[in-house]
Amino acid sequence: MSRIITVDPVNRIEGHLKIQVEVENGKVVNAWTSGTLFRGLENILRGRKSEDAVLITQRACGVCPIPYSVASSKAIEDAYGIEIPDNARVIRNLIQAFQFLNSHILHFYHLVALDYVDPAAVAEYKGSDPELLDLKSLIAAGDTAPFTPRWDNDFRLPTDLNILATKHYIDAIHIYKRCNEAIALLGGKFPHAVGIVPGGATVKVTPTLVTELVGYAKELKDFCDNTYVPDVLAIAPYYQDYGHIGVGPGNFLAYGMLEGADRDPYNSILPRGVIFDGDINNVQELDPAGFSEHVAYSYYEDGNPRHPSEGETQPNFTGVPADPRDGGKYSWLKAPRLNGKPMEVGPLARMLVRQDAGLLDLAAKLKIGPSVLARIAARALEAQLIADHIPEMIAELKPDGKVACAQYEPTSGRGVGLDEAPRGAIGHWIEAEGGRIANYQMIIPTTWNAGPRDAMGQPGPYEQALIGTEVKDPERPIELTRIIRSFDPCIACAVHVVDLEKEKIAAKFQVGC
Amino acid sequence: MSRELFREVSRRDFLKLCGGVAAALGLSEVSVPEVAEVLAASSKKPPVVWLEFGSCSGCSTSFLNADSPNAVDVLLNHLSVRYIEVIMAAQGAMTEEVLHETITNEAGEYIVVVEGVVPTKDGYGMIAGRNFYEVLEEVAANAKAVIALGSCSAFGGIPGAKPNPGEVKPVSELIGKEKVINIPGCPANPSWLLTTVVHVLMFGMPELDSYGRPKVIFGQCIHDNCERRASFDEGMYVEKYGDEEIGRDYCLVKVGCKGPNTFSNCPQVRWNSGKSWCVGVGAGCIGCVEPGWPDAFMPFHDRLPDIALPGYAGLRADADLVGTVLGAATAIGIGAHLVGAAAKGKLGKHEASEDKAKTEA
Repeated sequence: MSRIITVDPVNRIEGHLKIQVEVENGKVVNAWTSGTLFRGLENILRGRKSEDAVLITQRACGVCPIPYSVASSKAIEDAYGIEIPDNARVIRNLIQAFQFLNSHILHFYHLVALDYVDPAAVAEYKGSDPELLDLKSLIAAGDTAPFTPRWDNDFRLPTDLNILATKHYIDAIHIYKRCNEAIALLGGKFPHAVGIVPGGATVKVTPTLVTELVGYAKELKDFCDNTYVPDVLAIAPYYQDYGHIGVGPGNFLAYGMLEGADRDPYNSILPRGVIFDGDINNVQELDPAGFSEHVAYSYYEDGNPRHPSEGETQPNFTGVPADPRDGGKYSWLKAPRLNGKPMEVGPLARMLVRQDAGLLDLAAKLKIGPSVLARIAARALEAQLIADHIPEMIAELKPDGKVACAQYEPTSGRGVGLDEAPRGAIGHWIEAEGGRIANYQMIIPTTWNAGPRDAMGQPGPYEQALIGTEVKDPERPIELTRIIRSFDPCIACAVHVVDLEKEKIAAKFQVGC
Repeated sequence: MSRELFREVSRRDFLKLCGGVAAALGLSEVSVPEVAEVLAASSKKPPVVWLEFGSCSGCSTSFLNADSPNAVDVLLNHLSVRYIEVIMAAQGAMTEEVLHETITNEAGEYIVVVEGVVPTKDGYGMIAGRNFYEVLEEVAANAKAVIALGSCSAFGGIPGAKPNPGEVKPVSELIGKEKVINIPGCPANPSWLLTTVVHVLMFGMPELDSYGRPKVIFGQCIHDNCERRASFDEGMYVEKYGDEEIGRDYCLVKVGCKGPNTFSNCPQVRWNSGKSWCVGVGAGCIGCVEPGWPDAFMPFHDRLPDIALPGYAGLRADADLVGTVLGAATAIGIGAHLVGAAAKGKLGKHEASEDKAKTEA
């Protein structure tokens, strides 16, 4: 006999997500993930000046806003034929690098760690660290919100490691703040920086700025090398079964990021590419004609699967199904596919497309494949890789060099901007008429990962990762939320809606990558 | 833990906290010991329920950037944050239990922070099967105070921009203005939240302007305190992003800075541990703390006199007295300045006549 388990809300993620699974003989046989919020950013963009998209789309996500301003600026520059100065490329790379560090660190310590680390162990703490002593006092007083209550059915670490990781949870909040100070120096503030504009950036490159960045680069590299990566490696052996749990579709997509002076996404620090059917050493080029978006199970008016450039969607909330097995629409997210396949995006996809030796070696050593553990490890190694490259990015800055191209007239045109967010591949498509937005479309990482079933009934990546999982305690199904969290969901980003007039837009976009 | 121990552990932090708060409130250092005493006297950490509705989580992440006191200190020593989806350990049904326990056991005592807009269409925003507006109504009913944090929950923000596809509303329109303190901003600066919480705890409700914003934070025009004010007064402007003037830290009003029509202490507290702010990196203020934002402040990169403001040209509609007078004076002031600059040959003829027309209108 089967039963339905619902987890709503799934906390410690960005946004609002519900998961439902059907469990039979202790195993998940079916899964449904639902985005439970609608915002409609793309509708808001229509008719506004094209440049305004940079600041509006950023507001899709307060955890990773920077990739939106980069992808949006790229789309506009593509539409108007603007070439940005090299300093602007470097400034954007640096802001992105600090954004990835803040997001990956936040994800591991503040969103994920409480699934594996038991801060209650601090009750046994004998040392003199003032913050741990504060926490110890609170534990003694029973005043430990928001760290309690929690599902405490599967904590496996020894006391010392629990205490150390809890200390690093606290340290990581301070480090998170430091990443954002660096972004503020380059972009004004975080979240929602203003310093990236179509044509380039706005900040003046001074020796003082360069000097300060050098300091941040060192501090963050130290944290990755001596805290973040070692913590992941120390915790992983206790949860080695998670190296085979939450496998996912085995298809991976990366647009690439941190371009060099040649601006070639296939030659970036994290390159562009795709992997299909679990053949993880076979990296192929991306065929942009292969995109389609499905709405069969999404709260939008029905229509055939479309290329994103031809998309048409009208909200159509049909209610929450009483039992997901009855079928029908169940999510505000659409279901994007590449060559008809659901694609996983994010650090694991990027590091596999990169064929990163560090990740492949680690996976071989731990004997793990694509899984919860692989995603968490790929994220940590990617943070370290990015931190390693920051000093050379800083060295590329030219003090008092030009940071933006001022000589362009916003006219009409179509453009695409592809880049990466910490959570995965991000794409913006714009059609401008007379400097104003005629149509705007985003396909963002969590839509790829968390989307529902498609027209063929294929479950999305989250859903595929959940199916087959053994659930030990149906009241506290921590296996399920560990799987979901390993993808680093960002639901608010995923639940915007496009409202394109099909007759006007059909076949107009050329998704040239 | 005894109350004494808690006090002892926290005293150092209290003094640190009080320095920051006293500065933010504009108090002199002399008042710091007094502030510390008041804070230390309240031994129980005030309970907080942090509701996240139609948001980007940016006000939560902004809070994690708090500097003095920092977020760790706040969470460990100053506030008992019982419910906050983005970092709380609980999940699923347990979350709802925590929420109901808090609003029942701490009725009349808990502070509610609301992040994000509230869609009024059924199904457009739900937690645990309930619409956001139902959750808000229930949780706000017995709250000591409700802080609408960020421009979304204070005024509608980006999701409330035309055509407002989710039919969203700000918090005060749904539960009334009485209990609500608006702390707008996209995101809200963490210093604004902490200053307001401390104000409520120490001095009671802060004095609010007609938009429900604490005057200690949102009482002064950005333009009046701007580090680039001197170049404005001299008529020296950045004409376009990327032009050579940008390297000279000239005034950004012609690339769209909305500082002259925006009221906050951004120039003083700045952002991210005071490292910089929007004007600091040469991009200009976008007016994110103002009612009517973003529509009334767009296009972002067009200068103020070109913006169609609600009501009548050049003025903010339904501004309160201070806002109206200063807003009007500044808008006209800018026009006059640009005309002045044109007369001195710093602007092209076309622009000059345009500005003049605006000023005369």
